[in-house]
Amino acid sequence: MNKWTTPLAAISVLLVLALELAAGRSTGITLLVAMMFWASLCQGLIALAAAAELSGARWIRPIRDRVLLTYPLLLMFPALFLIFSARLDFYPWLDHGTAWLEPAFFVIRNTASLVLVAVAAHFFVRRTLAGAPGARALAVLYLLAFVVCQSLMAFDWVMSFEYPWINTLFGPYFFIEAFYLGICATALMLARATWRDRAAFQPTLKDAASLLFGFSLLWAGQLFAQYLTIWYGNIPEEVGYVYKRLAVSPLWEIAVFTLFAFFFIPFGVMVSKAAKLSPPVVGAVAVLVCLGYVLERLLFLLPDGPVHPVVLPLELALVGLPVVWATLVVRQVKTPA
Amino acid sequence: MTREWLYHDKESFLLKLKELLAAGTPPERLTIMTPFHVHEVDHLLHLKPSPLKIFTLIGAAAGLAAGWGLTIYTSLDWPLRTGGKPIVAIPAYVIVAFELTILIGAIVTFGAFLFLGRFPVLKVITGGDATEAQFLIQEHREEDE
Amino acid sequence: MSLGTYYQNLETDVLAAMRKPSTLYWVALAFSGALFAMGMGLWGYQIMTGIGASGKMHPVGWALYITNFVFWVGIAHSGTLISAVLFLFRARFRSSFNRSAEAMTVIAVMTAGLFPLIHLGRVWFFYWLMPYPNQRHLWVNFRSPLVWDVFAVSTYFTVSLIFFYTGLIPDLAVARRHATGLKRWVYRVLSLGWEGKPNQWNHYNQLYMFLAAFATPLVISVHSVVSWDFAMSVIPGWHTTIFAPYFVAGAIFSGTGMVITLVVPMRKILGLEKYITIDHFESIAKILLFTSLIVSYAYIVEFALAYYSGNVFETAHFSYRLLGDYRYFYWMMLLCNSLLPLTLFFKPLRRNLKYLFILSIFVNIGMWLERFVIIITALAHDYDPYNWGNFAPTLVDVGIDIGSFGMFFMLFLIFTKMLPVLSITEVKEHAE
Repeated sequence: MNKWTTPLAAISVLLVLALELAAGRSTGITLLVAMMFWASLCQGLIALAAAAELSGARWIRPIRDRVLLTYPLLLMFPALFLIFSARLDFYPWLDHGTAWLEPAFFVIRNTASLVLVAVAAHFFVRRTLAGAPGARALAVLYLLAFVVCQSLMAFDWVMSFEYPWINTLFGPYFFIEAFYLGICATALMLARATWRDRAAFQPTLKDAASLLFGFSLLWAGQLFAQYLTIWYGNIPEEVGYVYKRLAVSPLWEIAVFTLFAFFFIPFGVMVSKAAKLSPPVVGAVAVLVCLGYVLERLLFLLPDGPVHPVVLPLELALVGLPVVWATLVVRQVKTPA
Repeated sequence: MTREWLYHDKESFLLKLKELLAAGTPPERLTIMTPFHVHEVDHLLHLKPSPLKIFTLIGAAAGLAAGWGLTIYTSLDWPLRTGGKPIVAIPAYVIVAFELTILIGAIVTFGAFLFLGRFPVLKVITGGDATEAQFLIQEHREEDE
Repeated sequence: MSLGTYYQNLETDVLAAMRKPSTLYWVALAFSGALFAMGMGLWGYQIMTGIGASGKMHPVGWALYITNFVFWVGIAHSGTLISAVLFLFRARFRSSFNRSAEAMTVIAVMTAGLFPLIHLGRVWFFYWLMPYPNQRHLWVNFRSPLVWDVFAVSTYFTVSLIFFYTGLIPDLAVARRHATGLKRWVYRVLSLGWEGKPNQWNHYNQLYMFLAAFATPLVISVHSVVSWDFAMSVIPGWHTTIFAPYFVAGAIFSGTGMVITLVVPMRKILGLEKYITIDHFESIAKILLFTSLIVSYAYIVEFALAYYSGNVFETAHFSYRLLGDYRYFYWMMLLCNSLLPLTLFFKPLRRNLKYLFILSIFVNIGMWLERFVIIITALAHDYDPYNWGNFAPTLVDVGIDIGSFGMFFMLFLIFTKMLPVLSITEVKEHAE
């Protein structure tokens, strides 16, 4: 593992803390958006490797070690969440909460779940890279932690803004998106690797592109299941949530963009075999999906809390720096002895 | 005169086939039967990829059009408001269109398979049984024709 | 053993299953046929007497028949998962299961398809569900999930049948070589004169891949559409977004259980231990465990979010499920679907066929109960207390349901004698 990954991650967290302190309350819930994107991407990346390990999939072999060695990044997120906990007052339930929506409990359980994911990843990756038995059991534990963390992200971080609105599919929706982001990140890594060494990595690139295609469909199915249920039932408590986001101008455009970024473009492009084999095309589609994810968070959160337009790209860049370093910049990965 | 070679395993079969082709035997004179698909044979005989996917695309497109057409036409033909839904209820019609895409696509693809493979092969149904249990190569010499 | 001998043994072993049936077979066939006949007789009685012969009553207007419909459609999905989805993922272990799984799919959809007819009061008007031009200028209501069901299940049946048949073509060619007399003619015609020539294989391969690619979204969409029969309503317990993936996972879960229930005895009776190994069963057991976890997740989320929201109707409904009139069914369901499958985390249990068989019976029971609990508790106890009421099944209800099991097993037994239960061609292909 590259020796700069952890120090860079630590520096990122400190810089974000400095930025939040400097800008104060005007940052609103910007950090939430930045955190969600990068946390889901990093967690999804390891989740993809864990799923491949469990299903005995061999396609990921050429890139597996590099993917697994991004695991130290996961420790950034509990720290960032603790920084975010200063902004809890944007949640409407802070003053008159319930047993579940109580500030201290909220912070503890979410930080704990983020830590749990990082710890589970640590053990899973070390055991897998050592080639020791029991890696599969640890893969299962990681995936369980991942599902719990992503579900809490959906229900606690996002859905609670709209209390008492509930959407039972929100949790699975988030972890499918996280998985999708993991595939995008892997695809980007593979695109870069194929650019340098076509013969070794192109078949794997094709497999990752096929997964992108499949997940675009799966995502569309999940979105449709939510939209159809709310649209059909037409219950005022539920429709209000959707209406707030589709009837107002900037949000409506973001929604359409998200639909294209997550589904229409990956589906339409990845149907062609030539596209699946081309690193620039696959890379571009992967970046588009990532952009779609960020914009979708804005779609969820803009009606609920302020997001600072300058701080957002800054925080995305700051938190993203070690991630991009660990996945795309680092040339050689040395497996720890 | 027809020469025949029967093999029980893939490797010897492929060896003989390569030998025959290297000796200059034109592929049209060869009748080959295998118990399962052997990819190497496609390469050796320079078989073009099957045009089945064109039919699939046509079928799926027809299904999609039929799905939308059926639902939208019928709701406009007798505009009955049910459950407060719009007359042309797109989210609901997506489902019917999706299912018909798959249905018509699958049926057309199967039909294209029958057409492209010239099934059913009447002479086999009525007459001899092919010995496709093993790997068979038959070479038909010119004197036969 | 040389490959040639292996191929010949494979053919002999699999085709031996289609030999003259034993007494045990006839007894089993007669028994399941009798159950089926009883079911059909009771249906005839119901048509004559009226739908009141079943227990369906206000407010529980959908009861056992819809439970069975969803149950059988669910069973069908796992067959398609094994044959189509695992094919696309290039999972080798599927080749010893996929023929039986595909047969199970086709037969289960046929069984399921009876129930929308059975639960109609005026069965003779069933064709009103089809969009055909008529002198009253009426069309079906495409905005209704029941009509989506018509399209989804018909598509599923047709595509599954085509897929099943396509996979059979090379095997029917094998069967025709060994058959005699009338059977030989039937196999000759059904195999379409298949010869195994390279161009035929070329087209065949593409066809199989496209059918698998078409069947895969069907696995997800069809049971999602069936779940939307419930989710499109507004009553607590039914109106929830998670139904689509929850039902799909449940379908694969119940279907995998049924595959184990069918294949464990079939393998023993037909002597196919060499081709369907413990490793294959372990892989199926892992799918069972995985889908059980998804179903358990859905149970937890539904419950948790109902209480989280504080919505008085949601909390009342879930309390009713847990502690109300049908609580024993609910607890049994949790035991069978969520707790017992957890034992599959232990490898020795995953590889023990007797244990898998018994567990699969519990899974079948648990998943039937899940559909029962979802449908009946939601209808029995919705918004208005004046509207609450219970459901009690009648002999007609129960008899027809048992009849459907009779139909399923009867058709599956017939399948084992008429068609090769193993995909001979694929097993040969992967033999090296």
